[in-house]
Amino acid sequence: MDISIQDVTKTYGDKLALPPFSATLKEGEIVCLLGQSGCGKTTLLRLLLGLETPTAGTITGLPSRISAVFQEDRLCPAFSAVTNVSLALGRRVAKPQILALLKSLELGDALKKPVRELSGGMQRRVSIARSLLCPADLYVMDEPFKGLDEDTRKTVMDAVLDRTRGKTLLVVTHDPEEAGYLGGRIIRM
Amino acid sequence: MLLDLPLLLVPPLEVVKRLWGLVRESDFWRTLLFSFSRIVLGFAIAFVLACVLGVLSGKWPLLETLLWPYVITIKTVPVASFIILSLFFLSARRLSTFISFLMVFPVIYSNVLEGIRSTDKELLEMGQVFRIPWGRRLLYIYLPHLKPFLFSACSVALGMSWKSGVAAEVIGVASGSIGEKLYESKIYFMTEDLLAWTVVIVLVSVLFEKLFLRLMRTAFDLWEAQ
Repeated sequence: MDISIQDVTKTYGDKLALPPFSATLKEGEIVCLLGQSGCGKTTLLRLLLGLETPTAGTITGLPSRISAVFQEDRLCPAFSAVTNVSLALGRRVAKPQILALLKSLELGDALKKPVRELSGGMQRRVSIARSLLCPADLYVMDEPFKGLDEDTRKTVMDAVLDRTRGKTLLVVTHDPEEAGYLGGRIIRM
Repeated sequence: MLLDLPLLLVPPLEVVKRLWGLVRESDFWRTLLFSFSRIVLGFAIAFVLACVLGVLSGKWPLLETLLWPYVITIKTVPVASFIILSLFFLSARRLSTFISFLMVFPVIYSNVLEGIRSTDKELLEMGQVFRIPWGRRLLYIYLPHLKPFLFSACSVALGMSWKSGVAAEVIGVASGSIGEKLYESKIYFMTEDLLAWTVVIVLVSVLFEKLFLRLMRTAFDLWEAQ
């Protein structure tokens, strides 16, 4: 089902966080959101994730299963990468699958370490793995490749494309090259 | 000059001698066990109940509102008033458990509630988006965040439980307790007994605090290392 965003705005008091915005995300489509800082990209994602309600406008067609990579990693720092991923998935995904994806994202040496001991880039990959393993119809990712080095970024982007095939993928990015690599439709805010 | 008046202030060596004498009396260990078991029981009940109610109050603010008058009363009313009031409906032998419970509960409850309230909102949003059940959020998101709050609360509350528990035993003159020994030493001007028992209370209190905090730390480490 397509997701329709109609004249959605969000204000916090007097502050306009998201000016009127409309778009349609087709089912199974890859969409990259580009725009300057502060233009409301993250706010739009928060609205799609149900973390905020729009001040005006409507969002229809949202699937019940949505997965996310937040702008921050949002990992439980005391627990390992495996525990962090398992926490979000419950029993929906078997442990070998979790281990396989983490290893494919070059996290094989860091599976059992508390994530607070991992580098920023490694934590980012754990956050992405958590999102990719979560069965969903819409994947929402807020600057997911931020902080990754050039080689790792390509590996991770390939994993994202592979794991979200056939599902709707909405990626916020500042980098037109990233948008080009992902190969989807670009919306400028 | 005061050291020349053993009735008022006993030289430290005399206290040590008396302490050694006490330890060798069979009654000493019975007395110690009597007070220890009751005070620690009061602490344990308060710890469990305060953790449960603190977490539930964090989830349901109505419960916090309902508990607030009780918590504020326990916090502000002098412990001596509670001890004397409690003697109307509790036997002196059980008093130290109740008073220890009463003094510990608000300290741990307030800290747990504060910990729950200040839990990382971003992690809670993550839990919401991934539809993590509340029980798992409690164990993986709230509990690690509560760790410093629990350590700080227990560190304060363990000392309080001993101070208030022994005070209850003294006022209630609980037969077979450390409090009774303190009371007797006051009545018979046995200052060396008073100081020796005080040393015992301090030692047991400190040792139990260290042991409890060590056990709690180990439990957290094992949980996080899973």
